[in-house]
Amino acid sequence: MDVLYAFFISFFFGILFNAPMESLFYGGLTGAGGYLVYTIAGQTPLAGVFFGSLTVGVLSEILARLKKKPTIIFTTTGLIPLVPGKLAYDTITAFIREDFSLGVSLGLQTFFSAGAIALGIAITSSVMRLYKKATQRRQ
Amino acid sequence: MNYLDVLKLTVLAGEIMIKSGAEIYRTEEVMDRIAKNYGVKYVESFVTPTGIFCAIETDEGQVFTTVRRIESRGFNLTKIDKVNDFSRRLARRHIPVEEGIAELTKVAREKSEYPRWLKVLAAGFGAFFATGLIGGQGLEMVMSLFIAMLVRSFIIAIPDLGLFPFFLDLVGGFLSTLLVVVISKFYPISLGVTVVGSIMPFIPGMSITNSIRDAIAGDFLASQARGLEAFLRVIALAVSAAVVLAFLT
Repeated sequence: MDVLYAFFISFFFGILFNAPMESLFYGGLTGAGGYLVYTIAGQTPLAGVFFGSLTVGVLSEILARLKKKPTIIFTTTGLIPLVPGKLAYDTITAFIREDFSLGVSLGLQTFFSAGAIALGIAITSSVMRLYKKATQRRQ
Repeated sequence: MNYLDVLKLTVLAGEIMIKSGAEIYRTEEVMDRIAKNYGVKYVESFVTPTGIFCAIETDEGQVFTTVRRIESRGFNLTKIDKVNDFSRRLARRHIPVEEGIAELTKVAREKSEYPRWLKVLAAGFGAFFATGLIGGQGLEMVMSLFIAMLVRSFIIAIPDLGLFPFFLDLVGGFLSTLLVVVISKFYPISLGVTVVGSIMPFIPGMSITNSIRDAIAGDFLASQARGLEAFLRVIALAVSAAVVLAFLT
């Protein structure tokens, strides 16, 4: 059920970011795939986010080549379901209640979740760059 | 061959891509590819989120250089795709320079890919499913749907005053949270999931993605600029939500 939600989140965010109409569905698939891995790979929430983001990166690169479209079309919308919005919210409310130790702990969790998203995308992007350079040199 | 027209076309392509939120290295790559396809041997492009510099050298050794200032930046994945598609087609068969300029000028003038009402609807349903994803129930999801649609309509109706860039995020976060808090006085909804869900459509997803990808490509200048943009916009959302929550709960 959550995976279906993730699909529609990415789908509708595609419209907000003016994605091409024919790629909205695939953007949704990227989001759903990333979230599916997030739920099953989530030994710890942080690992889940990392592997989810890694999946989004891999799926985007594959779809970009199949559909001959820029990778960011799929990555941008695919990442949205992984954004730690609820964690950020809980951080804020903890600070408002002046529960600083909880606030700092939640804040760090939010920070590291965002970092895990960045790391996942960074790894796939840089692997693709290496691959591209290697194929160009061969030609 | 008219080198000035080639330069014009190259810079136009770069301008559209940066204005639509493309990565720096991809923009430079597309610009180089377009110029080389018209037989320019030496082309150097230097792109930042706020400006483009491009130089081409003719066979006689003359160098033409141009600078283009980028003042407005938005998010339009379709335009990035169209310029990308143009450079792909150019690699396969020759397109006269004039035709290319005409085609890209048309792309540059295009407004948003989707009508406003559809964007409002998309923001609503984005919020609807985002609320569901973080554990919201039926009533909370429906409330997020209507709040996000209402706030988005309001944001779209505000004319572009040219205020500071995250002004709209401040307004959006503030209004969304305010509406959720008011509604929670009458209906038994969980504040947390509804606030997060209805704010979701304001998440600067493209700035975040671009910042990472620019950093990987070694464009640290652009990466910092976009990372800072994303950071400030998220902070604007969080602070405006926090202000409402601190005073009304």
